[in-house]
Amino acid sequence: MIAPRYLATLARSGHFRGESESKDESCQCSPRLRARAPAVSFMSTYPPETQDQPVNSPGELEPDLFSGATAEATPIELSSWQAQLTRRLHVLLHADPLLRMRRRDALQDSELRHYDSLLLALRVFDLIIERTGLEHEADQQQVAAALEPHLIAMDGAAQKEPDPERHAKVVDRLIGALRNDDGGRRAFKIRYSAFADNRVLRHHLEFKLLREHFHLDGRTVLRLSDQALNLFLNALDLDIEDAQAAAEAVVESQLKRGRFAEALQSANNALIQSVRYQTKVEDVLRDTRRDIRRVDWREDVPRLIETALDHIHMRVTVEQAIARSAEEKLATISPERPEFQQVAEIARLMVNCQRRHQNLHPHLLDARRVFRIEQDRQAFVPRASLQRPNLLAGVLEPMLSMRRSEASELVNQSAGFLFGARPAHTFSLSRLISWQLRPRRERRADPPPIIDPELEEESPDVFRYPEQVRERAEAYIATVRDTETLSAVLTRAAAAAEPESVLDAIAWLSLEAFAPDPEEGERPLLAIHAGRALDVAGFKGDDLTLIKE
Amino acid sequence: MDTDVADIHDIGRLVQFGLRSDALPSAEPEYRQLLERYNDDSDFSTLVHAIVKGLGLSVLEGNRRGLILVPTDGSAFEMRWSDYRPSSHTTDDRLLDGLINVGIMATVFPLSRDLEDDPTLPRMPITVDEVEQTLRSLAAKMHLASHARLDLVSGTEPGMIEAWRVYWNRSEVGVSKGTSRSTRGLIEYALDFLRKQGCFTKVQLNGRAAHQPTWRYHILVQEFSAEPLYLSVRALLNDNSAPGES
Repeated sequence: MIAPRYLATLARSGHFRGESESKDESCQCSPRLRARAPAVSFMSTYPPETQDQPVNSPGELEPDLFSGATAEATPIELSSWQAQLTRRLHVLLHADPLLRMRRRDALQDSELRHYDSLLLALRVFDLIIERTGLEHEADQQQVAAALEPHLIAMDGAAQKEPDPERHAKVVDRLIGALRNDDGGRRAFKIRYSAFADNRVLRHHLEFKLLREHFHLDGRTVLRLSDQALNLFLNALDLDIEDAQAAAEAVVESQLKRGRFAEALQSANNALIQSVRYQTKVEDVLRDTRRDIRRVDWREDVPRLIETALDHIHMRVTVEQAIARSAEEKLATISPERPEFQQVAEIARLMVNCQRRHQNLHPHLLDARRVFRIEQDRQAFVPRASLQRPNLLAGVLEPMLSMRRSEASELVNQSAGFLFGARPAHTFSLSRLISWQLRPRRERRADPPPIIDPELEEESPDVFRYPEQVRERAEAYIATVRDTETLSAVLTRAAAAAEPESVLDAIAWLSLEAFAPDPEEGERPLLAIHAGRALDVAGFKGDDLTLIKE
Repeated sequence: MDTDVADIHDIGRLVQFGLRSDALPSAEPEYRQLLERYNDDSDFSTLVHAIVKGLGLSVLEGNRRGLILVPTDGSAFEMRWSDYRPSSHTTDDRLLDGLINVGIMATVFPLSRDLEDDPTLPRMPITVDEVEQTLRSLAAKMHLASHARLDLVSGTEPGMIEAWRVYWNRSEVGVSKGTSRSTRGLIEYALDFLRKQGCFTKVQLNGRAAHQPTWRYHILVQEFSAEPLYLSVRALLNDNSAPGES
């Protein structure tokens, strides 16, 4: 059991920071806390974490919790051991998304199972690092092109024919997994347990591996997060400055001992550390340009600038020495030997590191001036408050639940701030005339033929009876002597076994004679009421007297 | 500070570039040089702010990526709904246009902390389906709640019904073209309009057409649109709490 005085000392040791940055909606983080977000290496501070309930109740110890500790162990040693353990755990946890991705390979479709995601992912890291911070940074298209030979090699090993569509699918899936597309491109969130104050506490670790970045040329390029770079370099416990110093010391040592292949690898690592350092400084300057309230210019940044200037001065001196040493070595190695190329490459890499550091130097010297300019400029700029609203729950949902009239009023007022500035329209007479005088649109070479419709006179009555029936009925009407009743004409037609349609036509023509169309002019037949009923051949009604004119 | 006529001309050129949504400093050397001067020469930038203010504009952001100008109240450069969609004549059409634009914002930035992200880091592309789902699912939730409360709509004056009913009653997919466009059609129009304003670019996402928000859109929403929208909503609801306090 640890004596209470040790518990108090652990709490005061400062290795465990009591502050935590919760990533939920109720975050009330101050600008100072926000300034500690991933721009600074996660190795020098604890990453953002949230604490859940302790696994064990306070004061109750696991029997093997301090098995390495004896009654003589000092509180500093205990807290240091726990801090190192937690840091190493963080490094291992950062590999979790990569290992999960690899496990999913076996669950893929058979046509995709032979691709090794982990191997391809590390190659992607390599490609991105080579180009980070340079003019031609890697975008997804370039990564896909660079991975093509490796995908073809994997196809060959699995005795499959290369397929560009399948390769595109693999690259999309790989980049999507590294970017955490399934999680909405947010940070990976992993739960873990750690020791603190004699208890086991659960935490969340949040980090990104791959992120996109808007390049100045309008492309969307890929960059590795600081955590991914740390993972790639297998840098366990060192912050950027120490990691860089260590990498260059190793290069120097390996070069002196003639271990050129290892020295080349170490020089590559040193270059990556230079890239990380460059990104770290640029992030601070970028944050200053965005919003000076996000960066602590009272203490943190001045300290960073001072440290960075000293660090760069030391690095440039060491890199110059290594480059000189490499060039001296080159004079002693025959150009045909492979070591010659290795040492030449080491010299080139050191010159590259030196150039990056020297490029940083004017930015660091200029940083204070940037701060003063941004301070003046941002005073004029309308800035949102630091508290950000929730657009879904705080704006859209209330708008939808409002009365239609109120919501419409809100919408009418909002056009001015929903969109940016609209170039004002001004009338231009010259433009109007040019538009009116524009040449006619050319007709198509073979326009579709225009078929004139055939015009036919339409008369529904004619179509009621076929031509033959109408002629036969008119023949009977024509045989009417001066006067004859309709019933007599129908009797004659029925006696001649005329079809019903002919009898019907005779009746219709008689009715037409009874009520002629005034526009038709004189007709040869006139019909008047006969004064008796008609009941012949199935026709009933009023009989008509037909008078020939 | 001596004001040179050439400086005034340069400021005019810079403002012109800022008003063109398709202008890229990487592709226009003159634009790039003017931005460098704006960032490095404090006298020049002071003049820019003064002239821009006189025009009824304000500089929201000016860096190597470009100049973002926004209108002040009553400015001649302020967007009007009639500029947005001339064929939108009815109150309901305009209401739908507004809801959809806010819906697009809420789909891109669903959490308040999303507005704190670095604008140079691209956000996930969105699709028409996702925006439709954002709005329609909220409307569906309110529809279910209204059934549970046995809300009586018949006999209610048109202005008294809730805004969600306007969205709910508009069909998701249109059968034929006409003045009454479907919600998906309106969303496509909105995304296309925003793309022409330089706020989105068209990309492919898992084989489907999607729309990637740009750096310009992120800053516009983050620094210009989100807070006034929120405050306007709160004012209508007679709630004076600031973001994060409700």
